[in-house]
Amino acid sequence: MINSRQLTLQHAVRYFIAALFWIPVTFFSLLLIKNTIPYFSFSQEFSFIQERAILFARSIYKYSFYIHIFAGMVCISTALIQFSSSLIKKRKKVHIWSGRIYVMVVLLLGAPTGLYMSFFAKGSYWERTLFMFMAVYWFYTTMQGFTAILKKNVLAHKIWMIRSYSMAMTAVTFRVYYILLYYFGMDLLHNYEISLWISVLGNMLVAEFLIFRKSRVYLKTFLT
Amino acid sequence: MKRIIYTAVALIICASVFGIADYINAKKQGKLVNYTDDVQTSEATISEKKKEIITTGKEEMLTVNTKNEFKKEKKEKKIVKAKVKEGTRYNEVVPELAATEKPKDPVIEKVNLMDVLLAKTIDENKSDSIIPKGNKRRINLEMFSRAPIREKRIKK
Repeated sequence: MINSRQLTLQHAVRYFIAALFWIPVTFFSLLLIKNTIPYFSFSQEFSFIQERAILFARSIYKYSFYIHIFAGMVCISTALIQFSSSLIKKRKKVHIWSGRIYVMVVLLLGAPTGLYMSFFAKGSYWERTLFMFMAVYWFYTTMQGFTAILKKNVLAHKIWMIRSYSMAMTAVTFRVYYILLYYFGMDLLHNYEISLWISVLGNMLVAEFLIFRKSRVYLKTFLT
Repeated sequence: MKRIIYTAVALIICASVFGIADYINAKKQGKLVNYTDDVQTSEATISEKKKEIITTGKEEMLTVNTKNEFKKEKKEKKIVKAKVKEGTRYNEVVPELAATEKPKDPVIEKVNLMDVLLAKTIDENKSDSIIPKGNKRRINLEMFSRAPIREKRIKK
């Protein structure tokens, strides 16, 4: 039998763990958005653009890039409020509309442009394949989440959206690993490749762990 | 709602088709840049700069008197030698100059603007993996963007 003191302690621990997860996630997401805004000056001075001068000479690549970073900004910002249970309970319309924006932006802008750009991504064939996989997986999970809620299957919707968000967050986690490994002295080319793999696989594993932990009826998703 | 899904699927198919087609074209034309290869990257940037110069029609020839350069170089060598004698930390970095080494005669040569530009570009695109020892890596919040990290160190 759990007394009220134990219950309070359990709640406190739960909030603390949630804060430990969400504070850095929010901080780095907002930081990424802040650092992306200058790209909309459409200046060619950025080292990212200079590095890909040949690709940016092609209008299709250039437009894809700007659409992709705009989509990324919108996705990351709208997704931040999607997992708040209090918002879902008290302001359901905010959740619904920000969710619609997220889904539209991913399906119509983010994933297609990401897939096109993945063919010219930095790194070897393996990294390009990984980028392609990311774009397709992001698209697929978002679409599954969207169709699940259309069918009123809330559990499957939650699960697919966690997977979708984990892919959206690779943009953030990649930079965290990249800077950390840079700080610890790894050379930049290997750092880039390793950070990319860790961020994608790591995010997928974290997503699956969260799904497994949160949902007792996890196996039901295989039936949906 | 189904319309959105169909549009999205059509877009993703288009993206993959365009991607494959452009990738094959770029590969055939040799335009594909492998960013992990520094030489290739710098070559790509160079060819872009070359194009710019040709289109603007500003290609000029520069005449550089190497006599002045030669004097400067000699001065610098003297300074370095003095430092080496003092037994400073430059000992490891700077090789000692040969006493018998005679300087060559200064030659007046014509330098193409293009060559100067190319040299500068290659220098700018120097491999990031060349790291001087004994320096600390600095991180800041601006690194958290799409731009590749450039080496900036703090001296100990």
